[in-house]
Amino acid sequence: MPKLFQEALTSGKFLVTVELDPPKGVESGELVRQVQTLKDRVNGINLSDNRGGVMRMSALAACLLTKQAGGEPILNLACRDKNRLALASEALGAAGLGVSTILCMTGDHTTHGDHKESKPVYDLDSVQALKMLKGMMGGKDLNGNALNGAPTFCLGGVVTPGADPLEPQLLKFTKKAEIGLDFFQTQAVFELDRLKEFIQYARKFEAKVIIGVRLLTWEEIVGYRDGSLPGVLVPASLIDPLRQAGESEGPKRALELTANLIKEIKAQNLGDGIHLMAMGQEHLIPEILTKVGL
Amino acid sequence: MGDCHFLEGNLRAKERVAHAKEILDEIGMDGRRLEMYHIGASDAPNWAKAVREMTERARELGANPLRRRALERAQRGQTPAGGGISPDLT
Amino acid sequence: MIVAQRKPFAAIEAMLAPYKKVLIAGCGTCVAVCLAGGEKEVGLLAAELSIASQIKGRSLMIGEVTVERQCDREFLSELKDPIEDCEAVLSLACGAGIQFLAEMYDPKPVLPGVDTTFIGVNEEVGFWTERCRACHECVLDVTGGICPKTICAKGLLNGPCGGTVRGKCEVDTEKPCAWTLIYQRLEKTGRLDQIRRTLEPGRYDRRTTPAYQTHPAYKRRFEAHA
Repeated sequence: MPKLFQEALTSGKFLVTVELDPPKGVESGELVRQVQTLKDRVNGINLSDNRGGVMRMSALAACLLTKQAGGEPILNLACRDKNRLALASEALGAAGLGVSTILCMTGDHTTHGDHKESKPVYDLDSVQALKMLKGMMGGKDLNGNALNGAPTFCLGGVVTPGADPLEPQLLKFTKKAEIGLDFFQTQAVFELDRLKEFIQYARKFEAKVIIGVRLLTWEEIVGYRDGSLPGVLVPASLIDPLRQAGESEGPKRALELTANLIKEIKAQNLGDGIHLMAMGQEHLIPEILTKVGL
Repeated sequence: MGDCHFLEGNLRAKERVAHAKEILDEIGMDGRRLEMYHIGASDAPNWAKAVREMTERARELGANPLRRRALERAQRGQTPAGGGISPDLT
Repeated sequence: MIVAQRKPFAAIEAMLAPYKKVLIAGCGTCVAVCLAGGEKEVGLLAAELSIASQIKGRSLMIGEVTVERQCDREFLSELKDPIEDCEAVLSLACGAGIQFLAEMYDPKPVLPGVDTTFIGVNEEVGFWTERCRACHECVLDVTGGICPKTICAKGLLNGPCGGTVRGKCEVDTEKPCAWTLIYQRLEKTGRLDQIRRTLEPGRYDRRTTPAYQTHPAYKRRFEAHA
């Protein structure tokens, strides 16, 4: 079975991944359609894990549906809902079922989701979790117990290149990179000079860095303020013109903005690929990819 | 507002009066029985206005509920609980 | 100190509905500082209940007493007579004190007049902030005196997360990002190396069942609990 994403990582080619949300229910028709549309245009499809604290079908189940539909899944594994047993358990399940590429993150807090009363777990943080997963590849669990069959993972972490201040983010990035990860997928970037600053530092490490790019919806544009989109900072110089363009023009401008960012990232070699997030507007992804020649 | 000899005094008092009104509402006494007015020491006209407003409000609200119960009891020939202001006041 | 908040009046009224003779028991320590359950608050609540029940035409006799602390039997024992005399006790102490009182005066109904909220500090009269989560493994030496398990909304030992917004927390932008604060403080004294190493996962085996703690010099007496 070809491991498309893992092969692409070492191919030296400019990578393209996209993020899809599992359905909020058992109706997987839309997900399957999206996978079928995108599978031949991308190197990997991330399935989000209760993204934003909004309860959805399990990411692993969605990964299997993706595989069945011919797509190459990447399992998003958040520390918010699962304690260390559940994280390890899910990862073993994934590897056992042929989903061995895992992006492990802290996870958005429950507070902005649709179950804000729930108990946020965060038994491990993303650094500890990635370390645990890496360790499992050596045949032992977190507490040193022998595993009946060691998994092989392709492990990725998340980083926010646009964080302000950046230094604490780099300190944590370093801890993750030193574990020996295969890749990073970043939070959405809107400011290229900040990305430049970040990528200069990131290139010291072996892991490939896939730059997050996000197509904003009209609602997101209108409602934007610092903190309205976790992990995403959009400067006023970019968001104001989009707002002023109005409901019919704004989304078009947003699409152009996204396409331009991708072109620049590729042209200026500011990353090893792009991770495209267009939640709710997945039908526009093929158009964007065509626009930028990917 | 804010022009207090003791700097923040009237702002803090406003907060406390608001809290007291809430308590009065919670226990069934009606918070409208208590009000805070900001009147300069020498501002006789506004003082008189405030007094008239509160007197009118007191008439509208009627006897305080505790007093009302005591009056009802007295009318039924039972002794009112505790002492208090003369029923003639209302 | 332990911070608590008095329950809403309507909730307390509802709890006391089955009883005609209650004792309100206050505590003079933590809950007095956070203006929830001290002698003053006992008096205020007693007046509120007295007025409200009279207006509703319901008979309710209310006793008031405040002791130094409800987490010490020597003070709780002072309540013996007033408690005998009542049908139920409404305690305004923190959850620990309420339970200790209930245990000592079992089976007298004991009701909570407050919601216990956190271990915190008295920033100013009227304003208290949470500072500690009683985790059994203090790392304040590593994190420059700022607790990541408390101040970080996600309780991360290796932070910050990607949601930090210009030094504020993703969960509530009015609150600071703990890890940004930690970074900045350690940077001032050249101690960033402390957080460059990965902090290991928490040890929850130490705190998932009710904790018992003894002192080494008291082992013989309390060996069973050590």
